[in-house]
Amino acid sequence: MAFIDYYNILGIAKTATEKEIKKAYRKLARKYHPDLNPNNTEAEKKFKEVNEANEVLSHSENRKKYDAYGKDWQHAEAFEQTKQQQHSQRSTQQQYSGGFSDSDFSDFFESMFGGASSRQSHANVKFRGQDFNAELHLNLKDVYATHKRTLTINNKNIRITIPAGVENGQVIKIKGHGGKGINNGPNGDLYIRFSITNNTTFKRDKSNLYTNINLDLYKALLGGNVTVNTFDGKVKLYVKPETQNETKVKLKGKGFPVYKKENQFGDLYITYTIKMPTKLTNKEKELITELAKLR
Amino acid sequence: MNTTDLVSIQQFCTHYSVPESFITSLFDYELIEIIISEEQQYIHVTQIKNIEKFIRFHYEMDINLEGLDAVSNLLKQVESLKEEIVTLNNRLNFYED
Repeated sequence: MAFIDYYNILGIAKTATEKEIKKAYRKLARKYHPDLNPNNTEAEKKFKEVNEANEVLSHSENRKKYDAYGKDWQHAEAFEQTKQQQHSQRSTQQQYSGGFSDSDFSDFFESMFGGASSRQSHANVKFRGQDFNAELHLNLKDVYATHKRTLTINNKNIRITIPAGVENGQVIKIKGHGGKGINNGPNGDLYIRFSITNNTTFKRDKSNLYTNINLDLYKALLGGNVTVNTFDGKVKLYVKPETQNETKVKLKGKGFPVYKKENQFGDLYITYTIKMPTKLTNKEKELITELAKLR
Repeated sequence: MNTTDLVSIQQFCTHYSVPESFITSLFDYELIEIIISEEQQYIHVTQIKNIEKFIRFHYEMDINLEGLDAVSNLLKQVESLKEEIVTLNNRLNFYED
């Protein structure tokens, strides 16, 4: 547990007045408050420090205690008796600054002050808990079908349904699984951002899939059947005679599931790449020369 | 009118220890919507999260109503830009090998 210089965090002198402390806190809160920096963990961390510094320095009792024992926090034990008395007197009121609970304060703070202190304004007010953000890494194959998954968020297991067709970067809200409400207020929500890695040979654009198929020259010229891989299995495809290089064909309904639309699928677009034969034999060269003469 | 999802402004303000004038000011700045039913003013529960945010901005960060309006607009822009980045990134991935 390291000593925390609260004056330094707020960028004020040890002689700062209440007004100066308030001003410094508000200035930094406007910069780092999670409401103004959504999904910015760095800003959130910084704000917690600022909030804690304000908690200590803006309350005269806390500030006195900090000034007297702060640097030498190990001796704060001497406060234990006083602290216990204070603890029993402490009201259930809590400060609210974006839904932080006691656990959002540092060990240093907890050891000296025993958790979030009370605050005069907004006393006993119920507030929604803090919203939590989490990122879930999945492979493209994982989101081809709707399935359930158990996640551990803040040591709690929650089972969620991952709908088929969810997009990379998409965020879904799980109601009531965020931070606990303050003074019996409702819980915050949990926001899960999906990070989807595509390690397949298909390219995805929303619900449409794209892939390339190599065709040999003779099949392209004369036509025939080819077997192609789709996302959910193989299909047999008829290639028309005289198929040109880069020809695209669409397999309707063979793409990716459409998000939250059961049994609806996008299309699969196949591009034919015609591969020229190499290492021609003399016989082949002769025949091709004959063919060339015919054109 | 179904009032199950509505909270009276009076009740809301007592609960959050804020003056009713604050809520009406938010309405004047078109930051929230107020529903009037049988001469009573209500807010929809879906707006509570937003109003809590405005309370924090105003009472904890000392941001005035003009500031709330500006911040609210900028946050909306940030959200929409984030969504655009996600869409563009996904599209870019499509062209990258």
